[in-house]
Amino acid sequence: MTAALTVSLTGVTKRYRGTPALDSVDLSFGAGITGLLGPNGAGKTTFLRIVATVLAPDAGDVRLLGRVPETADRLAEVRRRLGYLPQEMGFPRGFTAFGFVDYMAVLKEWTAHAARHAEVRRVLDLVDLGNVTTKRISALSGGQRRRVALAQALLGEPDLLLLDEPTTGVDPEQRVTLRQVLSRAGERSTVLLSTHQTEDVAALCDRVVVLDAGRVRFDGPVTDLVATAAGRVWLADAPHPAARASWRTGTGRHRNVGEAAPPGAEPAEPTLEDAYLLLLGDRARTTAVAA
Amino acid sequence: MRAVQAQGDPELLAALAGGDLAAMRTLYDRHAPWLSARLTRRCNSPDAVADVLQDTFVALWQGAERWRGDGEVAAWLWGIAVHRLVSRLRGRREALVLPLEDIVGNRAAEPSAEERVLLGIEYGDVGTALLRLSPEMRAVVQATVLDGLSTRQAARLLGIPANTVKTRLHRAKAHLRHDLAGDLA
Amino acid sequence: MTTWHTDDDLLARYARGDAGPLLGASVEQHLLTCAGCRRRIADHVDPTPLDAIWARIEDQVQVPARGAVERWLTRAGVSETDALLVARAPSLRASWLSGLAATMFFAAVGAAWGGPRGVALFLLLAPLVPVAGVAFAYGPDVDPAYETALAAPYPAARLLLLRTAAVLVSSLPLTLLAGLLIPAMSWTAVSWLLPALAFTAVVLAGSTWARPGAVAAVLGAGWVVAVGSASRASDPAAVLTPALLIAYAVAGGVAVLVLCVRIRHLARLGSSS
Repeated sequence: MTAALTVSLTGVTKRYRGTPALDSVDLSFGAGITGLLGPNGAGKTTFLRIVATVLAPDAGDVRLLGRVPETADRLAEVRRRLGYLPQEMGFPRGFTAFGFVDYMAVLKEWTAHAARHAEVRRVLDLVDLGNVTTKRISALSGGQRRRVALAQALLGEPDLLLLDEPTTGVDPEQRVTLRQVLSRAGERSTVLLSTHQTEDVAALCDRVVVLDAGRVRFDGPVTDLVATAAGRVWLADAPHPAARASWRTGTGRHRNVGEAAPPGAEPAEPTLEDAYLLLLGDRARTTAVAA
Repeated sequence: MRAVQAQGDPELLAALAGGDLAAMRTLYDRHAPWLSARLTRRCNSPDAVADVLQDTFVALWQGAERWRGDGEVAAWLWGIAVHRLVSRLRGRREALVLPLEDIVGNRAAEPSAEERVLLGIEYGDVGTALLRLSPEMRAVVQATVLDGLSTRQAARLLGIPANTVKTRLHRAKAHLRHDLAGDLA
Repeated sequence: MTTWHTDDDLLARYARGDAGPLLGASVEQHLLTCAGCRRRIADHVDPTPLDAIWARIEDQVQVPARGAVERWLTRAGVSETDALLVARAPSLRASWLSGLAATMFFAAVGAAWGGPRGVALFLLLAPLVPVAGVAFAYGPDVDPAYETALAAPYPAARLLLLRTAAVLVSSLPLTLLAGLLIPAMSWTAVSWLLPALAFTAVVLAGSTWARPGAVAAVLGAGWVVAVGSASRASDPAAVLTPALLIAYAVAGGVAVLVLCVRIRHLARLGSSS
């Protein structure tokens, strides 16, 4: 009987050459899908690496399965229940899609080859690569390669699934398939999804964490974050001078996000992207004021 | 799955040549049953038939693009299969071949009216003429003419020397020519 | 075009082998051109063995064939899964191993005919061969999926040690043979093993801090300088004096201890990542 793997971080800090990539972060996760948003350099990748146990923090505790995995045995125990897709993942030369996922399955201790091959076929079918299993990875497109990488993370239906930009380079049609896969995984497992695509977070996640410069800027339900943008998004025919950010939409109108909408402006329903931009903008303003 | 079931054999072959294993599965589901039955009528070892079937489809996977697009895929598959069967029989001391049933059975039996009609449709006059051949000659005709094997391959399949194959085929052709000429007269 | 089709009874008899030779031949000719009757004969053929055969076909077509190194490892008693992982080391591929053989062949030829410079070349290469092999067996520089592999339960230390053992077994005997075939060499034909093993241990220990490639490069550069200056001064074999041999042995021992103490660091990314 597998249960979702609970993760809890207390005071986790990681520094690279003096600057903190993560600065005393406290977070906990359980079953469900949590989105991780943040600008480049915010510490999302470092965060996922630490939870995936491939990077040790400089300070603080990471508890997986209720304990800090210090010994080799505990580490192996946790890694048996985890699936990880790093931001940049390459493939050794000469592998077919099947061959590579099979290799990863061996690393995940699938020793019996009949069961292992069946599992490899299952995950490749899940990500819709069932008809290219014998193709060399070098002959696959970027989006297909990303899906191979995701397939290996899904081996064994892990209780903790850590995904760093899983939909990079994946075309919109395939992204729908992947969302279905992830949504199903989130029903029984703990899924942490780091991405730039706010639409993925809006579609999949109930909870969102926004990281910026190693600190947690927001942690809560997606709806709460969206609500912070209420009344601050409006449509106009041209970019508005009072807007914090403004861009042209598909309909030809301009979407403006900023402080309170000017009187008489046409309000728009806020999206997660609007709220996220406003949140980061607020942060930049307060740091400038403090400095 | 999906539209694969509706596709014809040539489309499946094209997909298969592009690396689609599901397409080969469909082709396998369509052709393995009759191939297995036809192979069993030439070789009584289920293990050998299984091996030949496996070899045939693996060869298909590796060489699907070699199909020239002419004729039936089924005929092409049989060509691969029967050649694989012959290769497998190479070097075996006892031939794994089932002697054609009638060598043991009723030599003197007259073909039924149904058989005559069917033969007439599939083979025309040649069919009825074939009836008048002895079983050994018929076996040789089947192996060389119907299955498309060379003399040496037919010899291996039937477990007889190549010269015997040549002699019987020669005599069979003489009989057939004589019969057909007689029919026309 | 004939509109005759087989009926179920005939198909059943044919599938059983009861149809007789001529009727059978007719059925066979017909089946070549009629998809409908081919579908119907499937009802009379047992699907179980056919499914089993398909499983074999699928495996043969999809599962990567086992290479020579993998097969030899299994024959040597290594488990199938370990063999699969070890054989994947870049320095155990056929291209690397044949390059290795060629290098040692030329080094041996050089040593046999080149006089002291030939010996210097051999002494230069011999201990660095396993070092290069280990540096190219493991680590973020040679494995694009290194980070993902770290997050897997298979112990990183075990993988590194097994691959190192395979590299040593594949490179040391060959080099030893090359050295022993050279008449002028006497003890140096064997004593280079000490620095070779010591350096290997240092690379392993060093990989708990830095990338194996970096450690190997530093060691290699140092060794080149040492052999170079020894050969310019007097005798290249000066790098293998008894005092130095003891030093290598001690360094190797210390490296092994350090490796044991810091072995858990192999299971994580280095802090510079």
